[in-house]
Amino acid sequence: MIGLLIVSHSARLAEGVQEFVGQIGGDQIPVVAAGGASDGSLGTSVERILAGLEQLRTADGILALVDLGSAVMSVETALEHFSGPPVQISNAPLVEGAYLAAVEASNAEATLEQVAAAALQARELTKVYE
Amino acid sequence: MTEVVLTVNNPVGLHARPAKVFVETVRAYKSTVTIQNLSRPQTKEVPVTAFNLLQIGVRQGHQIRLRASGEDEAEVIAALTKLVEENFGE
Repeated sequence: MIGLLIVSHSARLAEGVQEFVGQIGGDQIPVVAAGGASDGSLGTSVERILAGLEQLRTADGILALVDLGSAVMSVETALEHFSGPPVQISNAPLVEGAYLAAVEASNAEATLEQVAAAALQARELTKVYE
Repeated sequence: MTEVVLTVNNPVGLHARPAKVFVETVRAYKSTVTIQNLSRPQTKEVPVTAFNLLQIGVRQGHQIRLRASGEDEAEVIAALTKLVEENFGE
């Protein structure tokens, strides 16, 4: 079972993505939101991310989906203090990547590599036909 | 090869939760299943994956053609037909 960690500068945005993915995946996939700075304002927090990673400790692997810039740095810093299952940070757009990752991860046999590859496909998505 | 043409009638089309249920149903069988959105001629016949379902943009009222090949092709087509006809339980 692969877990998803949703990291955004806005705590509410991260929770919204968690809600969206949760409604799709039901209770099949562990999804944790780790958005916002330590005081809940806009930003990212190594502590919050680390707490999120700890919640996903029992997963076989964790895919971190991030929004922008310092979200990546904060996850990287948190990973220096985390010794659980393997973690990959996705290059995928947050919402679309989380959706595709969740569908892939709903197969309990899916590996971290497979879930990460599914998320990354979101970069190629066509939304509007001319 | 077993083939069926269906009209998708649920309001959101083949997106979000319905798309996930669709992919999971295919996953539960051994056969290979492809889908083509006949209502969007610019899209191709593609394997059923979450990404492809988003890509072919099946909306309410669109016609889809499903083709399955494999030992349980009739069963998977029957299961998918039931899902579509029952509007994915929504």
